[in-house]
Amino acid sequence: MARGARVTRLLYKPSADAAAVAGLVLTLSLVTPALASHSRTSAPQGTHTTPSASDPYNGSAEAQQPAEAEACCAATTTPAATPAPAASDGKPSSAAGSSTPAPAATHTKGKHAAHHESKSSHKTPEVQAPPSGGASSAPTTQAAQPIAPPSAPAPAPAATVPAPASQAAAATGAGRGAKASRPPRLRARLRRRSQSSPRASTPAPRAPIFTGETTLAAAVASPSGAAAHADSDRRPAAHRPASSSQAGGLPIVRSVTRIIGVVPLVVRILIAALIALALLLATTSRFAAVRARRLARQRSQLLEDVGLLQAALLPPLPPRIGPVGTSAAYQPASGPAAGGDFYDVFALADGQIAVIVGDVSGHGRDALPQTTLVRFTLRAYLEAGLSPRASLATAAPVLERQLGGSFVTVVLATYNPRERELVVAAAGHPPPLVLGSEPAAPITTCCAPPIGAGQPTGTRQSTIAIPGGAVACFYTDGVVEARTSGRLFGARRLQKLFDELPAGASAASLLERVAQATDRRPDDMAACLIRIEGDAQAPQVRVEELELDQRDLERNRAARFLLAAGVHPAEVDHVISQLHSSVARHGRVVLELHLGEVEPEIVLRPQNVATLEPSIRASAGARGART
Amino acid sequence: MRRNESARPGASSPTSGEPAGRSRSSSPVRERGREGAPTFAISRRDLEPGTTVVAVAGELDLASAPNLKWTLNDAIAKGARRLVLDMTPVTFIDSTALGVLVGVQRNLKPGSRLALSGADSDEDVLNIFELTGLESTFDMFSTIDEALAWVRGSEAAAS
Repeated sequence: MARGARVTRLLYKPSADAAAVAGLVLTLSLVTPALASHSRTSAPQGTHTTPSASDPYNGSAEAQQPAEAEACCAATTTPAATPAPAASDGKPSSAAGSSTPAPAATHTKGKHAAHHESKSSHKTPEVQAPPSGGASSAPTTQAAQPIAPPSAPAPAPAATVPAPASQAAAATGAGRGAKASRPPRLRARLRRRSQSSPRASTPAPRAPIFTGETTLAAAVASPSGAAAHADSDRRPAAHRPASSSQAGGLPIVRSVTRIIGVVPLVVRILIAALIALALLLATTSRFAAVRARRLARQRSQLLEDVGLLQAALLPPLPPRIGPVGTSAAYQPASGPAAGGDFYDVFALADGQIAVIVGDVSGHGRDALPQTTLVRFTLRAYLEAGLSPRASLATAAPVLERQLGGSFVTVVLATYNPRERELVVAAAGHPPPLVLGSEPAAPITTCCAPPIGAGQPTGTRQSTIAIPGGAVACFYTDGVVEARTSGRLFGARRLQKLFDELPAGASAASLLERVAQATDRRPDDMAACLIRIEGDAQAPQVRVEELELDQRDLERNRAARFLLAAGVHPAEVDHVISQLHSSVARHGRVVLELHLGEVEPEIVLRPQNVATLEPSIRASAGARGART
Repeated sequence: MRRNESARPGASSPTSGEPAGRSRSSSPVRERGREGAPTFAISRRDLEPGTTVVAVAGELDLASAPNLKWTLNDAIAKGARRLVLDMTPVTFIDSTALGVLVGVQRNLKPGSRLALSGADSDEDVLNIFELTGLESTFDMFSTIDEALAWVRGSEAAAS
């Protein structure tokens, strides 16, 4: 028990704040001997209320205990609480005297003890009155009074000492906790011990303090004025380090020396080897760290390069281009299909906005050069001012020669903000979903074939009026060919899913939703959204164009196209006969359907990209020669 | 400019070693698609000399396209000039498989014909042909008989 107190004292002696030290010391000393003494102390909680006259020391100690406990816990002591152990019999008067420098340093020891005794005589009964309660709610103001008024003993613990609030509080809490679970008598003893500890500067009296119960009683008599006590704690602290280091340091050094002396040579060599190994490992680790840094640098450079390359294929889009909001996203397939999709959105010189979204049939690395070739070729024709259909028709023969057998599906579009019209031409590619208050879909009959399929393409074009508040969603076939429970995802599901998205959702969030809704995505997915602002008005397909030649007429394409557009069958026959004569005259004829509220208006005119005809024929001729 | 296909998956090669004649050789090849995908099946029948019917079922996609390509090109290499691709049980065709068909079509010798039959039996498949604008590239028929009649007739017309 005594050892516990001493140890804590040694541990906490360097603490600058003596009061805090006192609190901590008490807490620890309370805890340490608690277990040992608990069995011995059979006294019930109520004992303090009945202090027997035959045991004045015990009685007084217990009576004083609540107040004192609080005082110590709060890292202070109050003079009011201290005098209690009047019955200390004066036995360890020297100890008591030496240990109570507080109230007034000028007091002689004997006097001081006497003073305490006299005080305690009338103090005790009052302390008994509030044995347990009250103290916990200690007001802080009166603590500094050297002699508390009779009513004050309970609230004594006031913390006027500059102890850190948290420390003091912790100490108080711990002290209280200990108190609650410990009979008061034991508590009194413990406190006495802990209070005696600060007085350790005088080694002589210390021995008796820790040996006998009677000396403890004397120690109890010691505590005095709060501030003074704190002071007293501080002073002896200066002495302690020396004594403690002398006591504890030397044996340790001695035993270490002894141990080293006994270590056999083999072990010493082993230790040396271990040290060498440690050094070696440290060196290796250092080299590894340097190498790792270099690799990390190279990796970041590579990623940067890859990012540049990817940007060439999938350019980062600004959130707005002119009057429209744009967003695009790309999700590579997990499998071998990765690569091949591409998109681009850019402003044209005349203020229109152009969109390119496509897919090269090849996949992986081989598709990359073709992907860039197609994208920039088509972009060049669009920038040159050709319509989407004319761009496709012009670029197709050029590209076909360079695609080396693979083919490209692509959709081109230009949006004219003044006319609020979206002109779309696709080659083997699904047309965009134009989603507004009432979605508009171009006719999908007689679509133009992909670039590289050996057929003239750029034969179809749709003009869609977008009065306002609509989104054109361009996508690649990977999106609609994803599978949901074994079935194709499809454009209809895509449209439904898009409708469920919040307004202003980005292409990335759209693809994320598609990924969530599907369980297999065998191909890359790319999506590109063009958001046209304004009041929500239903977009409407205005003009459908189909370029026809003799072969198309033989295959009945014109008739299917007209029927799909809602032209009356009787009218269809009439138009077909006109087409036959027209094609016979011009070779290629453009059939224009102007769709309106009523019957579509049909316009026939000679194929209008006449200058490109030789180019197409040349490429066809080259193909013929090859095969 | 025919591209000779070599180094094909030999184990599953549906090569019919049979000489021409009227004999019917059928060598179905089945392969499992990727996880969860329906099986893809391909079989080849040689009718009279120069006439071959290749029947495919399931999904024509990235996984099955190489097999389709090999089978068709092998048939052509073996002298088939009248090819019918029966797609009646096909439920899906993707751009890779379409690319194979386009390639085969483009590499046909003059006088040879390729007909697709049954492509209109599945709405999805027909839709894909429509959307890609390839329905005008191929000669498509509803039934095998129509397709056979056309390829035989076309050859007769050519010769």
